[in-house]
Formats: sequence, structure tokens, C-alpha cells
Amino acid sequence: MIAVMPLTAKQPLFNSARCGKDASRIALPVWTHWFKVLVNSLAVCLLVTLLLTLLFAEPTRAGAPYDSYLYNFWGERISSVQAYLPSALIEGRSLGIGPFDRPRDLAVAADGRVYIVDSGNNRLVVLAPDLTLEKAITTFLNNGVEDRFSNPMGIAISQEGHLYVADTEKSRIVVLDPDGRLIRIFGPPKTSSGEPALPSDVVYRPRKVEVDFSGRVYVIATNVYEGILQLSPSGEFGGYIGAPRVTPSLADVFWFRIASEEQRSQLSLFLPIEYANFDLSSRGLLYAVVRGTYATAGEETVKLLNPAGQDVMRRVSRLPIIGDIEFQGSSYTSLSSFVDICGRQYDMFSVLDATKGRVFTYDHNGDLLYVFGGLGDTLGRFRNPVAIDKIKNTLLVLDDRGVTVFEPTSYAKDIHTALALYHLGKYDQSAAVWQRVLDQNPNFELAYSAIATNALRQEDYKLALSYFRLGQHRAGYSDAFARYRFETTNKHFGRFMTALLILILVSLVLTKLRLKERILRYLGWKSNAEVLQTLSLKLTNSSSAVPWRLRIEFAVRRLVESLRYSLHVIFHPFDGFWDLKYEKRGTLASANVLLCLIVLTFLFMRQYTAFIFNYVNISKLNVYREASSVLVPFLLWVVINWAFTTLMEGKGTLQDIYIMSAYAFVPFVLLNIPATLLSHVLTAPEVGILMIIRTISIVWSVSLLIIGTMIIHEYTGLKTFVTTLLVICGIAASLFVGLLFTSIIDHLIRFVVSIYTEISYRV
Amino acid sequence: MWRSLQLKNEAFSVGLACVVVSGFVACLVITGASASSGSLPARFQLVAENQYLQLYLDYASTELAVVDRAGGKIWYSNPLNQKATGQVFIEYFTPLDALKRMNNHSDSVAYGQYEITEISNGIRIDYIIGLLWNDKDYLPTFISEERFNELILSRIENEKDRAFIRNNYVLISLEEAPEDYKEVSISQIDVDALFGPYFMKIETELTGRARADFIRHVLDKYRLERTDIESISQVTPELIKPFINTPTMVIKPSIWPWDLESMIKIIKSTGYNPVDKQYDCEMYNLDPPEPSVEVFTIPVEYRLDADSLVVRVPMKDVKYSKNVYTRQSWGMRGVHWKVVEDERLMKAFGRIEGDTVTFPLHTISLLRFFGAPDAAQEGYILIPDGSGALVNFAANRTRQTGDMNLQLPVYGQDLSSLGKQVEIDLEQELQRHYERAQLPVFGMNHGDGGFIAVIEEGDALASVVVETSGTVNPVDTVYPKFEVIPVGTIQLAVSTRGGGGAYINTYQERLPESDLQVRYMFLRSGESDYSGMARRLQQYLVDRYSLEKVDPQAKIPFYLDLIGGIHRQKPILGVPRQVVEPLTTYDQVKSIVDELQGKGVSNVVLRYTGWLEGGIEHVYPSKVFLEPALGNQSSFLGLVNYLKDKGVEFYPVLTQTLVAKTRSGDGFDVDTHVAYSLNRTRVLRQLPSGTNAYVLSVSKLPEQVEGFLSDCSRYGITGLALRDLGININSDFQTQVDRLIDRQQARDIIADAIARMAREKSLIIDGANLYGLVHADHILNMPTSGSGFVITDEEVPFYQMVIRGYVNYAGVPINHGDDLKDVLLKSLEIGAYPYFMWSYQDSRVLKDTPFHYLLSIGYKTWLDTAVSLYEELNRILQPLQGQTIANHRQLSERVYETTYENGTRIIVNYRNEPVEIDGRLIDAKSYLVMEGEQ
Repeated sequence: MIAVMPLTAKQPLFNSARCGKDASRIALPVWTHWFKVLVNSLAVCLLVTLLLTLLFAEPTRAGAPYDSYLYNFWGERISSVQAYLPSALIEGRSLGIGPFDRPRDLAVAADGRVYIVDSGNNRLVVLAPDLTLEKAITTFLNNGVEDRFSNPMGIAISQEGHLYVADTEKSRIVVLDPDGRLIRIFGPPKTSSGEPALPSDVVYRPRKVEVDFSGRVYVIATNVYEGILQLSPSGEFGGYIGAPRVTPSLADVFWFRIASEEQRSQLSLFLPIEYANFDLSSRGLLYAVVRGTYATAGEETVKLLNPAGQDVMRRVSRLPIIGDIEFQGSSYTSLSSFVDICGRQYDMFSVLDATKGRVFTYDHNGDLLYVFGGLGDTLGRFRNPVAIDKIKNTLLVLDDRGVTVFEPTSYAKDIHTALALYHLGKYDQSAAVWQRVLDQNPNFELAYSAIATNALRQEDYKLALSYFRLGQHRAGYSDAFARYRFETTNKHFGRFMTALLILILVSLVLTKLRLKERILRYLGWKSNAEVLQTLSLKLTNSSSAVPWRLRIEFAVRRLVESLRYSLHVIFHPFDGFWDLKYEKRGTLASANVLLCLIVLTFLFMRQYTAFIFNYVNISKLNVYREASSVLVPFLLWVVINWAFTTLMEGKGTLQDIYIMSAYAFVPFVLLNIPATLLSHVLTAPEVGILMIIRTISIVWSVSLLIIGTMIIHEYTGLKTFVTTLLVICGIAASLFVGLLFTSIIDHLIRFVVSIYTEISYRV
Repeated sequence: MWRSLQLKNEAFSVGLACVVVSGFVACLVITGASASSGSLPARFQLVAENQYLQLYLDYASTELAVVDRAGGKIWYSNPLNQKATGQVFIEYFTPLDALKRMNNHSDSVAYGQYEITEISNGIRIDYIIGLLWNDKDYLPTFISEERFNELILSRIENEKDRAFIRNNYVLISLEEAPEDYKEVSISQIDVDALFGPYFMKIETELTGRARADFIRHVLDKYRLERTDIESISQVTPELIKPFINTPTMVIKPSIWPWDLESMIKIIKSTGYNPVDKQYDCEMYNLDPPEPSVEVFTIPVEYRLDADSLVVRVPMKDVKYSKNVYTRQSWGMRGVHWKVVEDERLMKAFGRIEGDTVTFPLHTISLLRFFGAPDAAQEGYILIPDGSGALVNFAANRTRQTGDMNLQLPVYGQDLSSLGKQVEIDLEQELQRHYERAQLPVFGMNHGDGGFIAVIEEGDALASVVVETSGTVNPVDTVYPKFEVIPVGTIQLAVSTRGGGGAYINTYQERLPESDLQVRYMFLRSGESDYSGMARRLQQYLVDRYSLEKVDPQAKIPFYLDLIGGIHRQKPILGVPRQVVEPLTTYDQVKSIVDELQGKGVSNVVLRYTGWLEGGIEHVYPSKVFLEPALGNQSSFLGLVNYLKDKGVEFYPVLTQTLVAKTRSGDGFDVDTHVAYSLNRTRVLRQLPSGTNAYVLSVSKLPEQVEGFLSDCSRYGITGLALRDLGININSDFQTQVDRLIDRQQARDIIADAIARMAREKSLIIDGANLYGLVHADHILNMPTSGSGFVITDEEVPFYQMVIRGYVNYAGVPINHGDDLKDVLLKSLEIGAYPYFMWSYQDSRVLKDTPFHYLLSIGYKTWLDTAVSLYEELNRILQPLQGQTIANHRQLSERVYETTYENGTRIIVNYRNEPVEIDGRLIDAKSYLVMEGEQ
């Protein structure tokens, strides 16, 4: 059970479901993961008190008004280059039309005009493409009568330039032409039969609106949790889209069956979804963001909906599309709550987060490209940001103050160019631009991978390998390595085969002639067992003081002999373990050595397994924690096994159990060291070989452990089985108690410390 | 307790003795007052004048007016016709940690608690802020008939009032009882035992029930005047002895509140005061009235010094209540539980209820509304945010920025004074992106005049506060606010369930020792824009610090920062170890310098970061500990000599106040060398790399500097680059008053240390606050823009306009920055030289190290760009070396014009489209140079 860990370590649970790129990932039993989590959290608990001393970071130079960062492969935040910088803040006062009052949405028309929904003032503010004031629409003629908006919250612009305004308090969508003349009004949605589409107790309050190329209207309305309302161009209700597909678990079905009618109606309330905002992509799909954070929404918070309402977002990036990523134990979570999304060219999209006021931009694969923005009172930071839109590559963010205009820096322009060239199929040029991006930001893993992909296409395997490695792109690395391996073996096939043949020949000759033995005999060499026998005779016979050198030699030879014996044990467990105990073939010293070897093997695997299969952040590897993750379960096993077997008339002593357990893991050592070496010549599709060896090593070791238990305690099969189960339960229980204890100790320490501070302050 | 009472008495008499000037009419003719400025109201009287200025004071409100004799412009401390009163504003904390505010107008002048004295060239006003006595402290409860007549009745002129007062008092005395006298019985009290052989003689004969009620009332009044007695049964014969044979006036029972009010009013007019009441109370064994302890003594001096007004607060005369005893109970929380002498005294007297309290004086703001404009007036306020920023007056404001406040701490945040732990996370990112305020100055331009103010003393304690008018703030204003007692927080015991304990405040143990002084220098019409302010400030600095102009060289400097080593975590056989990775070794330094000089960059000014042991985050520099990974000692000597031969100025970089690593033999001791924060822990701060560094106690700085300097000479190092001394000032909040180093003291120690180093070495100083820049040969990493606060309307290169010509400088490394075009334009606009930070290794080695934040530093990537940028800048700036900036102005949106001393004008256009200026077209992101006419 210990040996399976290396592959799962530090990978979040849900990731296995999401990793399209990482073919090498193997679904493993969940319990191994949880066991790992348990061990990890034990260590985390001890660290908590230390972390409390961390204070805030040194104020480095300002320059830009916010941090620019990315997340690396390990989900750690790393510095990046500023991609967007604010160039202006457009406010009502600076436009000369009086301050904005809670503006809530903004849209950019194809002709470059910018429309701001100034909700509190019940008006539309229209800006010319150069962002100067054009006009403010406060009234429109409705059947010859002057009509006004009432707290409008959303706006969309159709293909032909019509403005669709969600006039929230008046329960309608008002359609105007660009000059502010009324075209039509969509009232509360009705089905084709003329029935109201919404339940009678829900007041229709459209909050956001979007219109697609064919004139279909999409509406997000307050208190409507079934999804996005879809209206036909003629205003007929066409159903909800984007509602989460509920796949009830068995338990849900069971409860639903036995619930009363009343309870059922309440149960159904547990599947709501409320969209915060959406945007039409250049392909006519809907980008939508769900209200709430990743943790509270219980759902992907960023979606790309096709007309059928299915989420077709590509999620091949290792990290999820959740904005700010925070580690929680070993899984991710996020506090970001998105309020608007903006689809951009080449399937990029930018999402606006209200929690920290940041704008996250992702590419078509869901890889994070850049982050900018923040909350605060300087230019480029926001107070309650609500909407984002674009004019070409200029981004506009609306908050309570007004519209902040963000211009791309040369770095962002390079990223855009690189993506554009890639989409046009100009891979070489794209790679050259990515190189320029890297020159500015050496932390950008995506750029490394992009260059490596191109290098692979050009068959520059060396470059591809090194850049895939820097980009932490294991699947790409594996591809490159497969090609590289093929090329190398092809090139050196002759030499390789010759060497192999010679090796085989030599070994054949050696075996045939038994040369080794002959030479040794000729030199008068005696086998270890022989020497040991004579030595032991000497030691037992001589009553007088034996020279210490002889004693040491005896001890060493005995150790070697007992280690050699482990090879016998693993192939002949029944008499092997018997002899270990009753013939004293195993010693405490050899068991200690074996345990060291087990730990070392484990560490060796963690560190030296080839890049393709290695998901350990080696620069952060903590040897003590790793070693303890082997030693603690091992020793627990020994002690708890002893505790139970003593109660259950087991014949084995603590020492017996210890020695037996150490010997049982010899296959683990013997198989995994070569397997680790072998991993360096394997590619991802061949992970099976590695897995088979590892599985064999585990199965073998565990079988030995069980057989060993049986033999040394002289148990029957059934009794062994029961004992083993008990021991496993015992280990879990003791870990639990241990955790509890550590947390109590931790609290106690904190309590004492704070009492001390208080007393020292008072006196 | 006694001492503090005495102090209050003094203060009280001061208050009473305040000068009341009447019938004295200022008959001075104000010369040259222009019509636009209006004439000075008659309530102002001349108190000082010299050839430039006249200082007027309104004795009743203590408002000031300064008349600029040459221009005739009048500057008021408080705008006329506005509800912006008061000059001195304070913030303080109550014993319950609540922040409260008071000012000299409503909490001192209104009570008459101030005294005005003349000093040379000006006046001094001593304010007692906070109501000293309650109204009831003026009303005697028991008073001898004799004193009553003498002190009160005889002084009331109005017959009716006299009768009114007399009627509300009853004359009593204890006199020997006749043999057969039988006192009425009063429940709960053994009257006979209490009065003994005496009986209470009452002015109006009362009998039976009425008499019993009256005696009870007298005893009740008596009890209420003593805190140690809870019920009248505790009144002993011993206590009432003073009544024996003494005719005593006692206040009547049940007086209507409005009558009480008029009584107090009348008695106040007689001059009977709480000190008299104290005498009376002591006579009758009563608790004397106590003056409030919630009062603060703040003296302010206003002086004219040549063409400036100097405002000064002599700190030794500033007083606040610290550990004083008060009978009022303030609750447990936040009270200083210190056993003080006074309290022990009190215990000896058997009075232990009540608390020992402290009212820490948190901040003092001076001349809050000085020069505040009328609503219609156009102009702006200059604040030292980064390079400088302007806040327009309401009349020409471009943004929705009414009712906003901005407080800029001068010289940035103190690393030792932390806010609440929870706030830190919130603030940390914002703080990181705020520019520092590096000059302790602020200014105001009215168009027809202006001023630039310098905080001369207490600058490290100050913040520059700007307020914009709106519905809450009456006017647009800018003023200095001094944090005299910093406040921190400490968390009380955390429960075992993990619930957080309450936070209580901790305060610096004493006031700072430095005085507070601000100098307002007035500018005339036409010279009052920010260029004028910069010129005036420059002249002031040149005079005061005798600065000298920079000598022009054949080529402009090329600042280059090479990074020696960085540390990174590396597992060696799984054991994590910190190793230093060389980014630029000594030999590589030589090759980069050669390559640059080969390309014509002859004047390289070289910084070398990460040359000390440990790399960028090096060990405590008590000596020169070289980093072995970069080469051996002799090759370092070789490098120094090589650079000397090549004519390259060499400045190894030193971090002195943040200690990231230590080694044996450096003499660093955590117990003695680390500063304390206000929450009584040693200060640890996280560096950008994630390393936790100690904050050095500045008391150890001189020792460190001496050690390092003496070791430097061994290596022939002639220059040093100071990374943090010019930026960081950190207090050491020791709890022992004599070991505490307040922020101003820290600033002085740092300023001395810089001066000490400047005597031996030439210095590059990073950022460079005022005290550092006057010693610097070069300034790097200075702010080149403001923070972009929404409250500001424009950012101006004020800092550069002040120092240009007297020191060479550059902003942040160009390879950290924005588009090269913008960098070029900015350099021309502010007269900065190019600055790069490079390493010999490609920047890819930074990936997955703690120093990933350095981003693009590989020199090969940048070399050609840098050389061409250098050549372009050199062409234009070479003749402008040592030239000051005469003028700077905005021509249109994002188009600026800088005029240098010799008349050369440079117009830069940051816009993405061409602009036409005076008939000449300037391309997008381009510039235009016009040679001077001279």
C-alpha cells in the first residue's frame, strides 16, 4: 500500500477525471489517496504554528497598480509581466453628464460605440468609438407616449445594431435602434400557447440579456434558477438552457422514493443554478458565468454553452478555470466569484472576478494567460466591478465609478500575436513570437510548451524535450521522447545490437565454463556461509577472550548471510519465514538494513522516476516527511499487529513481527529500483509496464506479509485474514487518535502562547 | 495622583488667566492688499512682521492670517465664510481603545482654555484641549457662610440673582444641644450617636417629619460627595466635625434643572471656581472635584522666518494623561494595569475604586484648513505621492472625487508597526503598489499665489493628508498629520476551541522626543505652479544642505545592476539544502562590461547585487563576507581593480535593515539586534522571495556600518549602493522607555549612518527619501509616477524637478518595466538615465526558484536594445547633464513639455496618435527636442 503512493502524491482527486493531456495518469483506489492525505495533514498540523509568524510581503516597487501573476504546474502563484495597464477612467463627471449612479452593464457595438447602462439614473450613456460622450438616452417614444427605463440592468447589441435593454423593474426587454427609437418590446415570456412561462409567484425581472446571430434572445432573470431563458426572435419562450444536468446518486434516488410529496418539492430546490452574466462568443456560442464561488456554486463557474445548452468548454489544462487558486489540503478551491465574461478572438475569454476585482484571461484550452486588476482606489483598481467588454484588444471594465480602459502592453500583444499565428497555422512564426514572450517572462510554462510543440514538429527533439520539461508538459515530453528514442535506437541500432550480442555471448561463455567459480576456487575463496560456520565454531568453542576483529567479522558476515537469505524467503515464504523465526536466520540488524533500504527505495522512486511519470515537485521535496510517510505506517503495522496478535494467541514476538515485515518488503525494493531506472526509457503509453512491475511488487510484498503473519503466529488462513483486517482498522484508528491529539496539542500551545502574550502585556 | 491633580490645577489657572484683549483695535494699514484678495477683517491683529510677511491673529478664535507684503495675498488659517474652524486637531484613544477626536476650536477656545504669549517674531498659543471641569464642579454643595458671602454673594451685582442664589441654599450648623433636646428619629441612622452632644441648627425652623427629611437630605448630599461611602448610615461623627459651630451653606434639596443651570451660570460669573470648591470640599472632608483627565496640553508656536511661516509644536510641553488615577471607572478592557506610585498612595488612603488610565495622544494635525480655497476658486494641491501628484480644487475637478480623504505616510510604512493580523492580508497588495512619499512636502496653488510647505522636524512621524470638499468635508485642504503615539494591536487569549480572542490596542510608551515643525514658503502669482514650488524647494534644499551641481561628463551614465547569486532550495539525495546559484560571476561581470564598452557605452555605473554571502538575500553585513560561488577573494580584488582601470564606477549593493540570513561570526544576535513591533514580538517580514527576514533594530546600525566600512577598505571598494537605507525607516518599539527608538529617532540614526558612509564612499541610494538624497551621488529605483489614486487629477515629476541637476538618477530597471517607447519618453520627460538589471545567465534559470519575480534579466536578450536606447538618450541628454528642470507642463492629454535650465525644450507625446504642437507634428509615442535660445 505504500508503494502505490508515488504516482498519486499531491494530485487532487478530481484531476484524474480532467486530465486529457496526461495519459500516464492511472486511476488508483481512492483509499490510498486518503491515506496519503491523512499522513500529509498530520505534517500540516505541526506546521500551523510556524506559519502563523508569516507577515506581509515587502513593498516592492509599484509601477503598475496591481500584481501580475500566473499559476505554475504545481498551482503555485508565480510572477508574470504586466499584460494590461489602465489608460483612463471615464466617469460621468468627466463626461459632463453628472456622476454615474450604480452603472450595471456595458456593451460595445460593432461600430465601436460603447453603451453604458447607468442603472441608478435610468439612462443609457452612449460613447463614441474614441470614448467621448455622444449622448445619453433617457426617454424613448412608446406609441407616441414618452417612456422611461426603470432600473435597467443589462444591455446587448444585435448583429444589425439594435440595442436590447433589460428594463428590469418594468419586466421587459426594450429594443431600440442606435438612434434611440423604439423597435419593439418583449414583455414577460409566454409559451406558444400563450401561457405565462414563469410560475405566477415569480415576478419577471430580466437582469441580463444577450441576442445571437439569428435573433434569438437569451435572458437571465432574477429569482429564476432553472437556467437561461431563451426567447425566439418573435418573443416566444423557447425553454431554459444551461441548467445543470442532474445525475442523482443512488442515495438521492432512494431518498426521493421514500420522501413525501411535500418533501419532494423541497428536495428539488436543491438543484438551482443562477447565472451571473453571459456573453456571445464569436462563434455564436454563449459564454456564461455562474453566480457564486467555485466552492459554493457546486458547479463549474465558467461555461461555454451551445444552443442546446450543453457546456462545451475545453478543459484540458491541468488547472481548473476558477480564477484565483488556493490550496486546501491537497485539492484546489477558489474564492473568486465571477460577475461577467467577455469572449475574445481566437477563443480566448476574460472573466471578471468581484471578490478581488481581477480579470482572468484564458486561452481556448483553458490555460491561464494573464491576470490584471484589483480592488482599491487607484487607477486600474475597482470599486464593485460589474461588467467587462472589449474594443478589439482594449478591455473596458465597468465599476461603480465608471469605465476603466485597459490597453495591452507589448507583452500581451505578443501573446495575442502568437495565438493568432497559431490559429492561422503559422506554427514557426508563432513559436518565434512565443520565444519573445519567454524573453520577457521566463516563468510562462505555456510558452515553453508551445515552442516545444513546434520544435517537435520540426524534429528538433533535444529542444522539444528541454522545453516540454520546462513547460511541465508531460504528454508532449512523452511524444518527443518516443520520437527521440526511435531516432536514437535507429541510428545506433547496429552498435546497440553488437553490444547486446557480445554481452549475451560473454555471459553464456561464463556460465558454460563456470569460470567465475573456478577462478574463485583457484584463489582459495570460500563462500560466506562456509566462513561463517567456521567463525561461529571458533566463537562458541573458545572460552577465552575472542579478538574483537573476529567478533566484528562474524557480525558482518552474519548480516550478509541473513540479507542473502531474504532472497530465499521471498521465493519460499513458508519455510523461509519459519526459518527466519525458528532457525534464527533473520537478525534484527538485517531487518534494520532492509527497512532503511525500503525507505531509500521509496525516496529513490519519488525523486528519480522519469519526468513523464513523476508528479512530485522535487524542489519542494521534504525528505523527512517522505521518509516518515513510510516509516510511520510500517511501525504502526508492526506495533498494532503485535498488540492484536498478543491478544489472539499469536506466537510471534514484537521482534519477529518486525523482522518478518521487513523481509516481506524485499520484493518492493528489488522490483522498484530497476523499474525506476526503466522509467527513463519508457514513454507515456508504456506506463503499463511500470504499473505491472509496481503492482507485482506490491501484491508480492503484501502476500508475503500475510503469509509471514500466518507463519510466525502459527495461525490458520481465516485467523490471519481476520487479524489483518483488525490491524488495518487499528492503524486507521490510531492515526485518527494521533491527528486528534496533535490538533489538541496545537490548540494548547496556541492557548499557552496567547496567555503568555496577554500576561506579558498586562504586567 | 497628587502630582497629576496639581498639574491640572496649574492648567486650570492657565485657562482662567487667558488673555482677554478688549478694546484694542488694530489700526495698521495693510499695504498693497489687492482688491481680489479682499481686506483683512478687523478681528485680526498684527502680532509679527518682517520685510516679507505680516502675521495677524484673531485673539478670540486664534485664527491666523498671513499677509504676503509683496503680492498682497492674504493667507488665512481658516477660510472666511466657511464652517471650517480650528487649527490644531488631535486624535486620541480612550482607555477602552476607542478613537476620539478633538480640536482646539470647540474643545479649547470655546472653553477659554488657552493662553497666548508673544515670542520673538511670532506668538505662542498653549491650548488645553478637552473640557477640564464639569459644570457641577462650579457649584458648591457645602460651603461656609463666610466664604459664601465673600466669594459668591458679594460678587453678584444683580439683586435678583443674589436673592435667587441665596434662596437655594440653607444655612445650617452643628451646635451644642440643650440638655433636654430630643432629636427626631431618622430610620437607619442612630442620630444621637452621630450628632453626640450636638444638634443640627437649621436656618428655618423645621420639626418632625420635615426636619427628619432635611437632615436626611443633608447627610445624603454629604454621602454623594464621597466615593467611599455608600449609605448615610456610614457617616461618622468624626466626618461631620467640620460642621460643629461653623455656619455652613448647604444646597437645597430638589432644585429644578433649569434653575441649576442658571445657578451655575451666575456662580461662574462671580469667579468662584473648582479650585475654590476643592478648598471647601477639603474643609468638610469631602472629595474635592477632580479635573477631567481627558485633556491634552498642546502648545503651538507661529513664527515668521524671512519669507516663510514656521509652525512648531515644542514636544516637551505636550502633555497627555498617562497612568493617572481617576475616580471614574473605565472598565477592565485596555486599562493599563500598571501599579504606579499614585495608585499606591491612593490605596494608602483607602480609596481604591476607580482606575489608573491613559489617554494616548495618537495624532496631531496642524493648520488643517490653511489656505483652503473658496468654492469658486481654481487651483490645485500638490502631494508627494511618488514623484508627485496634483489634486484639483472643486472648481476644476475632473472626477467624482468629492468627500475623499487620502493620507500619505511620509517615507512610507513603518515595518515595525503592524495593523491587525487580519487587515494585513487585505492591505498587503495595495501597499505594495503604492508609491512612497519621499519628500516631506505639500503645496497649494491658488493661481494668484501659492505655498510649498516642508515638514522640517518630525517628518518621519508625519503623513500628508489631503481632503476634497463635498458634503462632509467643508473645503479642499492639505495639511500635515503627525502620528506621535503609534498604535498596534495585540490579541488576547485564544480559547482552546480556536475562537479568536479580542484585540486590544498597544501604544508606544512615550511621545517622540523630536519637535514638530512645518515651514510654509509662500510663492507669488506667476510662480505658484508646481514648477515654481519645485524651484523654491530646490533653492531651500541647496541652501540648507549646500548641494552642488553635477559635473557634466563625456557621456551620460549607463546604470547597470548585475546580479551575482541567488539562493534556491535543492534536494541533495532528497535532503533539501539551500545552495547559491551564481548568475553572474566576477569574470562574467568583466566580460559584460567589456562587451558594453566595446559597443560604445563608456560611462558604465555598475551596481553588483548578490555579491555578499547568500546572494541577493545576503547575510548580516557586519563585515564583507564574499559569496564563494562567484569566485575567490583574489579574483574579487582583481575585479575591483579591473573596473577601476576601465573607468567603471563600481557600487556593490548592500541590504542593511532586513536580515534574511545570518552566519557564524557576523555578530548578529536575535535577542539584541531585532526590532520590536508594537505587539511586543520581534519583527519578521516576508521578502518577495518568501524568505522571512528580521527587521534590524536601528540601534545596531552605526555599529554595523563601522564594521562594514572598515572591512571595505581591504577590498578597495570606493562606492556602495544602499538598497534599503534610503527607503525604510523602522522603529524599535521596546517597552522600556529608555531603549525605545521612535520613528523620528530611527530616521535620525539612519540619516547619520548615510552621512557617515557618504564621507568615505560615493553612494548610490535606492528610492532616496529626503535625508538620503542629499548625500547621494546617484539615485536609482526612484518613483517616476504617482500611485494613480483616483483622488488625484494629474501626476507630475515633482521629485525630479527638485533634484535634477544636483544628482543623477534613474527609475526602476528598464527590463522590469513597460514598453521601451514609454521608457524612452519618460526618461526624456524627467531627465533620467538608462538603468538595466541583468544577469549573465539566461533568465530561464530563475524559473522554479524563489526569485522568479525578477523576470527578464538575461543580458543577451537586452544588450542590443540597451545600446541603441543608450545612444538615443545620450544624444539628447548629454548636453543636459547638470541642468535643472526650469519648467514642466502638460500641453494636452498625455503630451508634456519639459524645459531645462538652458532653455532646451523637450516635448513628449505618449499618445498612440500624432499631435500637433505649435504647428509642429509629433508622431505617436515620439518626442521633439527644441534647443535653447541662449
